[in-house]
Formats: sequence, C-alpha cells, structure tokens
Amino acid sequence: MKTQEVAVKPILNIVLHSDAEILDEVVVTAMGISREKKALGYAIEDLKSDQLTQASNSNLAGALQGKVSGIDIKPSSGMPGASSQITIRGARSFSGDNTPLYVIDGMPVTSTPDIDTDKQNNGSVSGADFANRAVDIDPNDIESINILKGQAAAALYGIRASNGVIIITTKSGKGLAKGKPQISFSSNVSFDVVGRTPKQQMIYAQGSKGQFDPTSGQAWGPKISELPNDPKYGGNTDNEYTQKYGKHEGKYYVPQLAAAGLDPWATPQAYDNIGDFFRTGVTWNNSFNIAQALEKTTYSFSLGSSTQSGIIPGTGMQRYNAKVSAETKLSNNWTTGFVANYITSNIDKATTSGNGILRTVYAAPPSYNLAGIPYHINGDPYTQNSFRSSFDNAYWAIENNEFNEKTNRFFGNAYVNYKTKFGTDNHTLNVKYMAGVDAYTTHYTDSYGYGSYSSINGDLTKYGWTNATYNSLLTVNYDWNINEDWNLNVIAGNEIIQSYRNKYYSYAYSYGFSGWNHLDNATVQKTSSEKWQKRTVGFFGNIAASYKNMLYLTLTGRQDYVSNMPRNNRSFFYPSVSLGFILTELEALKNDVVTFAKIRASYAEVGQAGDYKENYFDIPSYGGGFYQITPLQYPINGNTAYVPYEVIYDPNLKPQNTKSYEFGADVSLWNNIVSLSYTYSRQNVKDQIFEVPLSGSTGAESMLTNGGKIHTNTHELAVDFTPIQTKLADWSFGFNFTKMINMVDELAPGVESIRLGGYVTPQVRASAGEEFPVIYGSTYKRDENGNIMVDENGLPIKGEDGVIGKVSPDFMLGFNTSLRVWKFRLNAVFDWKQGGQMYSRTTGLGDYYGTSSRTANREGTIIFDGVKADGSKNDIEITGPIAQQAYYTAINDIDESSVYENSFIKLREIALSYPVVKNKNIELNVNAFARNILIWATVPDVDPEASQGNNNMTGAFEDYSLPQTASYGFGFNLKF
Amino acid sequence: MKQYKSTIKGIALSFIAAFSITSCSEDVMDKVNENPNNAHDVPAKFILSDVGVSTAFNVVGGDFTLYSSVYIEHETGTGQQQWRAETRNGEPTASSTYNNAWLSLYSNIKNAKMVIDKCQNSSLDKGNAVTEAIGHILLAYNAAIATDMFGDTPFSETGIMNEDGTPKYMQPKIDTQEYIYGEVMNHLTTAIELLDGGNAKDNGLSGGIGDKDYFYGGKAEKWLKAAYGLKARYTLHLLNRSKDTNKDLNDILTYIDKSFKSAEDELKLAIYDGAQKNPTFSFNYSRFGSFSVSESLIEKLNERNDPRLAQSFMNADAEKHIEANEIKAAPNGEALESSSEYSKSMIGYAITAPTQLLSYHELLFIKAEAMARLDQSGVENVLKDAIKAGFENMEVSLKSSNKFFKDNIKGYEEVTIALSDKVNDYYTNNVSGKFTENEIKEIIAQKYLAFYGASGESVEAYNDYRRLKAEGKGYEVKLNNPLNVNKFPHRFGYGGSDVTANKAIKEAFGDGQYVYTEPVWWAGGTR
Repeated sequence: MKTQEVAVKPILNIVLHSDAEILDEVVVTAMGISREKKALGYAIEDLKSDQLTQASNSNLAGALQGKVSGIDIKPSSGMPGASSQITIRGARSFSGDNTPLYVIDGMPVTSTPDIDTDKQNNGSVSGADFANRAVDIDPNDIESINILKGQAAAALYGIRASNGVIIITTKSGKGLAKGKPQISFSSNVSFDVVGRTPKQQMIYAQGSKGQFDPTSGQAWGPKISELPNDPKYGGNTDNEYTQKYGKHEGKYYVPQLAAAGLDPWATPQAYDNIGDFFRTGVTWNNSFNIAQALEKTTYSFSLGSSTQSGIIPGTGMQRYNAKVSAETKLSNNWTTGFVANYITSNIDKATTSGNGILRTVYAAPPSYNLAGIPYHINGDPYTQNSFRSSFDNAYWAIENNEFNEKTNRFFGNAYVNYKTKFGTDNHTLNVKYMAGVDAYTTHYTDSYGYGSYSSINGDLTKYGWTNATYNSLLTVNYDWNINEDWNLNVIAGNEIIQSYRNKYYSYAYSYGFSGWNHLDNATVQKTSSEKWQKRTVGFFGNIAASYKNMLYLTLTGRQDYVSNMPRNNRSFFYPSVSLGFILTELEALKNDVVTFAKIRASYAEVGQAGDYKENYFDIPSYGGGFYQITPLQYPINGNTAYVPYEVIYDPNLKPQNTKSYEFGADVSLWNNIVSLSYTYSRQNVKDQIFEVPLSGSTGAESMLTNGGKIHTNTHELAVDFTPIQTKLADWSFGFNFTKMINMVDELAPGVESIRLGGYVTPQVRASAGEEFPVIYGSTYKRDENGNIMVDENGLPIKGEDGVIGKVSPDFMLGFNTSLRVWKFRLNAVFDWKQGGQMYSRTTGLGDYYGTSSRTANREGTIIFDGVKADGSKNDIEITGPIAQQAYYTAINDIDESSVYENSFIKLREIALSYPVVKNKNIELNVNAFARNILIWATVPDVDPEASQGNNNMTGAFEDYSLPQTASYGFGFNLKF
Repeated sequence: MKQYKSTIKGIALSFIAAFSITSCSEDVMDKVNENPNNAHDVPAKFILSDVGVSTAFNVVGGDFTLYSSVYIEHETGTGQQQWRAETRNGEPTASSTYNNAWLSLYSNIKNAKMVIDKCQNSSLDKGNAVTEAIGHILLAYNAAIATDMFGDTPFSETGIMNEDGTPKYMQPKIDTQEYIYGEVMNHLTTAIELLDGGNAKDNGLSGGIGDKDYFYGGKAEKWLKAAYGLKARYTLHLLNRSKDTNKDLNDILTYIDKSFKSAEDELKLAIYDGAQKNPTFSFNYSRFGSFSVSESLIEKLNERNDPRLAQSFMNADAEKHIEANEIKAAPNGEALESSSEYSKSMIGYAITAPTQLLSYHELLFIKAEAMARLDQSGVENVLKDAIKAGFENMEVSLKSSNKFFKDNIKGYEEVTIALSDKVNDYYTNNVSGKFTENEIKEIIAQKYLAFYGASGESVEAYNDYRRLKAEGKGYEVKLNNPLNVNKFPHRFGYGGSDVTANKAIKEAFGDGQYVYTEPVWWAGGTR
C-alpha cells in the first residue's frame, strides 16, 4: 500500500490507493491499442506533458533531449526551425531515412524534410538548412508521448516500423470531470544568446607573412599596433597614401573606408567581430486551450503561437497552431469523433558551410571593423565592401540574400467506433474505422541577391512541395476474458495509405539590374515540376494472450503491399513475437523488497522499401565539382537535351530487412523508491537499399539496389529514484544510459565506403568494418609504428585518404531530477555524451586564417608531436609568425588535423516553478527556466551540436555551421 | 433489426476488404508508381546534342585541361587542388582527382554508343546518317582522350546496357591503347563513309539533328572535314608507333587537305554568351587564385618578345591589366599557395570564348610539323599562318575577358586587344631565327604558346610533350618544374569510381604512383 498522509478530520474518510496503480499504468501502443505497461514484452518509453514542457522548449526534439534512453537526438543548430535527427537504436539505412514514424492521435503524419541538404546543397556544404516537418508539432499541445523503440513494438506499422515509432497523444477533453469548461493559458518568453563561438586572437592584423594586406582573407599580418608604421598603408611612413593625403600619425589607410566614402584614416584597434554580430534572440510562446466534458460529448480547442527571432539578424520563426477535437457518444454502441489541426509556419534561415554567413564573421581579421565599416561601397548598395572577396560579407548577406520556408498544413482524422459486449460480461468487440488526411504545402526561397559572390549578378531558386497523404484504418478488436486466469485479445485490421506529392521548381540567375531580386529580372530561367504517388496497403493481426496477470504473449503479423517497389517485389510479411513474465506474481517470489519484477523478450522482422523508378532520361545539369556557379543550363539556344539518368534502378530491388530481438527486465524496489529498466537489443539489417557506386566506366554513376549489412547492439538502462516523498518536500532523480554500437559489416562487393555528404574530402561516409558513420579524408602520414611523420621543416606530411574519425559516441547518459520543497519545484536535465569525433572546419580554418586564439602566441615555438624521417622524435622548432603560418597552412591541408573528440556535458534544462494560486477554481503557476547554459565540451571552438546536414551526416561535420544558443526565460500557466 | 445491422456491417466490411485487395494488385500499383516526370526514351539526336556539349565542356574544357595546364606549365597551380598538383603533392596520384572527368568521359561514351545503336536499330532513328556519323565521331573523340589520358583503359565493354537499363558489364575490362586507337580510326572511317562526301542527310522518321548539333547545325560537309582533321591529329599521336612514318606523315597531309579551310570550319563549341559560360572562366571565377601566371610560360614569351606578353596578364587581384614588366610570375613547382601573391592570366575570364575540340591553328601546326619532318618546302608559310590563326583565337578570348572586366569591375581600364596585325613583325623578328635553328622545335614551341588560352587545348600540348619526349630528339618544350626529375605525371590515374568498384582497374591503379613512372603506349610505355 502506498503511504498516505491524511489530514485528521473528525470523520476519517480514507480512500486507499493501490500500489498497483503505478504498475497498471496504461500506455498507447501500436495502432492506438491501449495496454497495461506491465503486459508488454518490449521496452517502451513514455513522457508526460509536464516533463516535455518544463523548460518551455518550443521544439519537440529539443524537449526530448536527455529524457529518454536508446535514442540519439542530434540537432543541427540552435537556429529557429533548425532540423534535428532523431534515431532510435542506431541506423538501419546508410543513406536513407533512419528517423522514426510519428503517429499523432492515431494517424501517421509526415515528420521528415522534403528537401535533403545533400541533394539541394551539394553534399550539405552550401546553402541553408531545411526544417523537418516535426517542426510543426507544438509541444504545449502534447498530453503524452510514447516511444516504441524496438521493431517488435512497432511491427504492426509494417514497412514503416523499422525506425521505431513516436506516438503522440494531444490534449483533449477526455478524462475531465463533467461540468464547466476548463480554460488554460500559458505564456512564456525566453531570451536566446549565442552559445560557444571561437575565441579569437586580438593582436595581429590582416595580412600574410607578417605583411599587412587589406584584402587578404588571413590575419597573419603585423601586430595591429604596428599598422601606422606599415610601409604601404601606414600614416607614419612615406607611401602612396601619405604622399597624396599627407602623414597621419598613429593611423593607417583603410581602403574599405575610402570605398565607403568615409575618412580612410583609422586608428588601429582590435574588434570583437563575433560579439558584434550576434544579437539576443527573443522567443514568445503562447498557448490557449479550452476543453469540456459534457454528458455525452467532450471537446477541446487549442491555439498556440511561437514567435522567435534568431541570434543572427534576419533569422526567425513564427508558428501558429490551431486544433479542435471532439468526441460524442451516439448510443450505447456507437461513438464518433474527430480531431483537426492547422499549422502555419514561416522560417527565415541563414546559410552555413562553404558560403555560410559566418564565413566572414569568424574569419574576419581582428583589425577589420566588420560591423562598423559599411558593407557596400559608397553609392551602390549592391557592390560589396569587405575585408576580402569570394565570400559574402555577413552584413551584406543579411540585407541581400534570403532563405525562407513557409508551410501551411492541415492534418486530422475522423472516426467512428462500434462497441458491443454481446450482452455478456467477458466478451468485448470494438470496431473502429478512421479516415485521416495530412496535407501541407511548403514554399522555399533560396536567393543570393545581385552582387553575391555565390552567383554572377544574382541566383534565385523558388520551389515547393504540396503533399497530401490519406489514411484509412479499420481495426477490429476482440477481447475475451476466458476465465479468471486466461485472457485473450485478438485484433485484425486493414490500413491504406495513399499519398500525392507535387513539386514546382523555378531557378533563375543573372539579373539584368540590381535592386530587384526577382525571377522576372533574370536572364536565365528554368522551371520544372514533378508529381508522385505512393500507396501502401497493409493487413495486420495481433493476438495477445495473458495468464494470471503474470505471463503475457503477443504475436503480430502484417502483410504490406507497396507501390514504390518493382513489380513482383511489392508484398512482404512482417511477424513479431513478444513475451512478458512478471516474476513477482509468483507466490514464491513475493517479498517486501522487490515490489515488482518482470523479464521480457521479443523478436521481430520488419523492412524498408526504396523508391524504385523505371530507368529514365533526364536533362543533364552542369555545375558542382570545382564550379560554384551554374556554368551551363539547358535549354541552350532554345534546345534541350536528354541523357540516361546517372542513377540506375535495379528492377530486382527487394525491401531491406531488419531482424531484431531484445531482452529486458523491469524491477521496482521498496515500493517504487527505486525502479530500473534494462534492455539489450540486437538488430541485424541486411539488403540495405542505397545507391551503390558503380564503376564509372559502365557509363553510370550508381545503382539503386540492395547491398550491405549493418548491425546494432544497444544497451539501455533507466534507473529512477524517489528517495523523498513527504508533505514538505519530495525529490526524485533518474538516469538513462545508452550504449550503442552500430557497425557497418559490409557494403556492396568492392565498395569500401559510400559518401553521405561533405566535400571531395573530407566527407562523411559509411565505411565497411567501421561504426556508422565515419569521417573520411586526408590523413597524417604515419610510419609503420603509427607515428606521425614530419618533413625537414618539422611539418607533418599529408598521407593517403582514409577514415579519420568515428562519429558515434561511446555512451550517452541523461540525468533528470525533480525537487519540490514546499511549493517550489526545481527540475533539471543534464546530458552527457562521451566519445565520438567530429570534423570542425571552423576550428581548422581559424588556425589557417590566423584568427584563432591558438595563433596568438606567434613569437613562441611549436614542436609538432611526430617523428622525423630517421624515426627519431621530432625536435624541429617552428618559431616565429612566418614559420607558424607555414605550419598552420600545412596542417590545414590535412583533414585529419581538424577532427576533434566530441565528448560533452550540457545542462539542458533547469526550471523552477511555483504555484501562486491553486484551488478548486483556479490554478496559477509561474516559472523561470534556462536551457543549455552550461557546457563542457572537448571540441575547442564550436558547439558539439552544431553541424551540417539534415540527414544521416548530422553531428559529424561542422563547417561554419550555425551555433547553438543558451536560453533564459520565464512564464506562467493559468488554469480555471 | 439486429440481424439487419450486422448484414450492413458485413457488407461494409467486405466492401472495404474488397477495395483493399483490388487496390494493391500489381497493375494498379504499377500505375500508382508511374513516373510522369521523365522521358523513358528519346530520339537519338536529343542524346547526341549533349554528347557534344559534355565532350566540349566536361572533357575538353574540364578537369583534363585544368590539370594538363599545370603539368604543361601553361598555368602555375597556386591554390588547393591545383597547387597540390603543381607541387606533386597527392593530387597526381590520387584516384579522386580525375574521377569527375572520368565519369563524364564514360557517360559520353555510353551515350554515343546509344546514339549509334538507335540510328542502326530504332525504327524512329534509322536512316539518320548524319546523326549516326556524328555519333561515331564523338565516340572516337572520347575514346581517344580516354586512352591518351589513361593509357590502357576500358572501352569495348563500357556503356553497354541491358534492356532494363542496367549495365551489361558491371566491371568493364581494360582494353589496350593499341586496340582503342584501332577503334578510334574505325569509327572515324565509318563516319566518313556515312557522311558520303558531305552529301549525307538525316532521313529517319525522328527528323534531322539540325540545330541540336551545336557545332555545325547538322551540316555533313563540315563534319566530314572535322573527321579528317581528327584522323590527322590521331595519326600524329601514334607517330612513335608508326610502322611507316613516311606514309603516315603523308596521310596526315592528305587528311588536312580534306579538313578545315579556315577558323570558320573549326570543331568548337561556341554557345557561351555570358549566361552560358566558358569552362575555363567558370573554374577561375569559382576558384580564384587556383591558377597564377606560369614562370615557364613567361620565360618562353620573353625569349620571343612575344606580343601576347603585353596583352594577356592581370595583377594579382585580377582587377587591373598589367604590362609585361609588371608580371609577377609564379615559379613552377615551387610557388606558394596564395591567391594574392602572383599575377593572373587574363584569359581565365574569357566568359564567352569557345571551347576548341579541334582548331584550325592546331591543324596548321600539325601540317607544319608533318611537312618539316618530310623535309618539304614552304613550312615557314604554314607556320606563319598557324601562328596567325592562333593569335586570332587568342584575340577572341582576350576580347571576351576584356569585356567581362569592363562590365564587372568598376574602374577597370580597357585594353586594346590587337595581336594578329603583329604576326608578320613577330615572325620576322622573333620566330624566324629560332625556326631556322630547329624547325620542329620552334613549330612545337609556337603550337604550345598557341594552346595557352581559354579554349581547352592544354591537353593537346600535354600530348605533344609526351610524344616528343618519348621520341628523344629534344623537340619538346622546356618545362621548369624541378619536381619533374622523378615526378612528371606521364599519364592521368584512373577514376576513383573504377578504382573502387572495378577489380581490374583497382589492380592496375595500385597506389597510383605508376603515373610517375609509366608512359602510355604511344609514348613508349607498355600500357
């Protein structure tokens, strides 16, 4: 029995709560089937509303971080609407989707991005990020989240189940006491500041080899204080400018000031160009909900808004969510209801990587006043004025380049339910039919304005996807309590998913004149459109039998037919079996210490289809490789050409197959003061569908076919403690630990590795015999003993290309705690990721450019840790600015030098709340919170969670990636 | 009533079930998965059109020329990949270096083979003699570059597709250079036959190629000249392996007689108008500072007090034209990796300069060489014409650059481009003497200088160097890169995609060091 403190009243009226309540917790499993958590033969993770929103994160992926085990959440940056990759128990596909299926209120919805940065942004190393569609979900409207981690848990979803499922139940009027409407309103504001940024040297000026050069991209010039004595530009010396304008003691001539029409003579000083650039972002979240339970009807109506301005000027996000749901009982047997969501969002983004906006901020020499010197020349706002050419001045880019996505989305469903007990006590039949739709349109704009270095006289892409997915789901659920010991549940169902996708695309470049960045001003235009259909038809069944609330056996099967596979390879069967055994139900094992103990095991097979197409012809495109512009574009002189597409589709393509099993145990001790849950799982995936690189001499580049093997071993452990539970205070804390080894066993015959993104080198790859994924690029040359070799100048030598880093961490550990003292409640979440590596180009180039603080000690000596040609330890000193510049230039040429260990600990969330008023009629809570305010990381300059790509390369490759933010805020919840 | 209800339910359920089953039959699913966005077949001329563009842009004007211009010292590599090629650091022996060009080359070969096959077998394309002939010529052209660059390389088993669009040979075998050159000549002969003395017409149902042929608008007589011109070029390539040098040299002269009469006839892609851009320009614009002015080139121009010196170079920032005495050239093999240190070539910005697949000046230089080798008279006049044609080609490029700078750089002072009117003085004062000293050597030196530019001709300069070096008579131009002692790239290494996925190539490639030691077959090597 659970201990209760009861106020002493004249008449005691004690309601005894059973302990079993915790153990009898009901969770939503696949296909909306509610089951007791204890009956499950597999691991499931559930989170409630308050756990999600305790620190008011408006991004669902962010709100999950550190709170669940077995799940790797990799945000790409801290920008509004930034993509993030969620993978459950590792990757199954090399280049395809590894993210889970999202099911909201019983219906699968799209959560993946329409645009892959690899395709649109040349290997994810140019342009701006693309949000994934999970960005549309408002965490404030979520009642609970259940995460089906293993394939057995998800198997009823068939072909889409291999990556796990995130089941979201939104707030509804169900469960409210009948009576007056309940209105709740919550509002909060948070202030976002830039997280980690590179530390800069503040001593040396722009230039190279100790010489000042006002157009150099580097900061290897003289000391800033020496600029007035510069022979070419100094105000103290005799040169072109002092001859013309006279001596300017203590000053130096700045050509960019002259170009801007200002006094060109400046007193040298060091500028904090990074600090000047970022602003404080502000996020407002508001949500309003009214819900009521009437005699036969419940309804709920929610409105939410999230308005965010990013830390980079010009970036931000506005999102508005509206939802209405209702359910009514028509008769004793019939119930009907619906839920409808509308979301509109608008995201303003900034570029990263190759032509990233930070490329001219982080790399600006400290002697150059990036914020202060006008970014355009006098009289022409479109001609840039900057410390260097080739890359857009960040301030110019803010005004002239535009990266935006706008989405309008509707999703919802309507259902009718028939329930009968056949006039008996022990038979229940439930038949439910649900029809739903998820439809949205996103419009994208990628615009480099007239004058941008990423174009010649401008470059504009406007495109968008319209998607509509219709879902028809019939489930027949039959429950039979055979006798006191035996219970049987049988489910049969049918699901039809039909989707339509339409894309429009217009691309134009070379504007006729400046000032009007528009398609109609372009001299070259290209338009195209695409449409696709896809259909999945599935039949499924589920048989669950239980014996004495002790043994639970579940068998499932699903037969899927999918349209996007080749003829005769379209249908597949996926079985699963799971068993749960509650040991503490055995009389012999009942005791006072172990309140509850269960062991469980499951096995499942699921697959993934690929998008098969009949081989086709395509309009050839020119660009990529060395070209940063589009050199050629059909039609040429009014003619268009067509050639066989470079990717071949294998007509014998078959679905990739995942076989998985898991074992686990759940134990509670001392009336749940300690509870722990452990799961080991193993996945064997074979026949991955991916574009296998071909011998180019075949005339084709790759073939979409089956190949490869990957396996994952995962250990998940969650431990929760509730040591204090008193009237004055309660305290609970928990850990969730994940160790995952995700090995690529083989790719296709002869294929050692395949690229996932990046430059020619370095790249992120899947490499046979290595963990998934790896960083690939030029290595340090090593001798037979593995020592790095240096040349006669003491500089490391570049070796062959090879694997230079592994990305996946050794383990992840989340720590949560909740402390209540009197009425104050404090929640905190820490997240620790240990091991793994990351490529950071920003860090490497900071040294190469001479802007990083590591290059401040130029008078000093560097001895590279390596061996000389004769095998002896290197003792060659690299002393002085010129030699150091040569050293940093040499190592910059070796990709391996920019690979860093990527361990970190973050204080994800800390939140304090206080109920100002709490009575029968009204509840008012106020709270203050902060997110990501403490970080310990091994990566030197950047945030460990800022990287390139909205795909499987996320988390591996940093290249002027947009930073993370630290947030501080406060808010209130009002309920009456 | 209850019974009635359950009947309705039964009907509803079976209706849904029936719909479910019929909605997933193979035929229905085929329909759902139909791809309305792309063509599944096209007439041959639409394919051939891009074989031409891709051959010019990707193969002739692309990476082969970029790297050749480094090895042959038309430019000095001073940035990233080009600098590493310059300093023989990684790039020349890495399989990733030429993979993009390799892919383009073999895609062209596949597409050209497809064109020929369609013209012979498809009911729509049968009878399109000109289209088929162009297919043969461009197939020969790509095959020749493939073997010139890579030596023994796949050809016979490449680009052959099964009915379902998958490659018939997943790992095409390596053919010998001798075999491939035999095929090159065969395809050119077939083309010449098909062109029927210049009277051939496209008579197939799908219609003539017309202006989808960006070179000659489908004119058979022009293609005939090009085919003969190419025979001359390739016969010259094989001179070291000739069984009868005299005959071959005479054949070369016969071919040239049947070939171009003026620059009008050249096999060149001249579609660049600013929106469509010359590949050399596109490279230099994208990768500023990858190339700087080559010291070795300047040396050769200086020796001849060449009029190109005064007109062809820009300051380090490529913003201002400079005079001969202001040029700061980058030392070959020892240049710093810097975009701001050295002067730049003006032709790097020739945005509209055509790409030359076979130029008039090249044919004249070949003619001069053949005549000189045969000890014929009148070589000087041919050489002078060749130099003049080369100057005229250079003028086109320089004028294009000049216009680009004028349009894009504020304060740029225009240069008056005039070269061709200086030819006579130049020849008399600076060339004639050298010619008398060593006829062939000066012809080659002048050819080398004429190949410097934005027309994509560095590959042919690279071929000349290897051929003449192998001949051993010292006719080749002098190269300055000190690393050439043991690191002259005698060839280009196979493309990375085959090094990965084609066993035979992987073995042949090894660690890639063979490029420094093994010349191709026509340059005296074994493979």
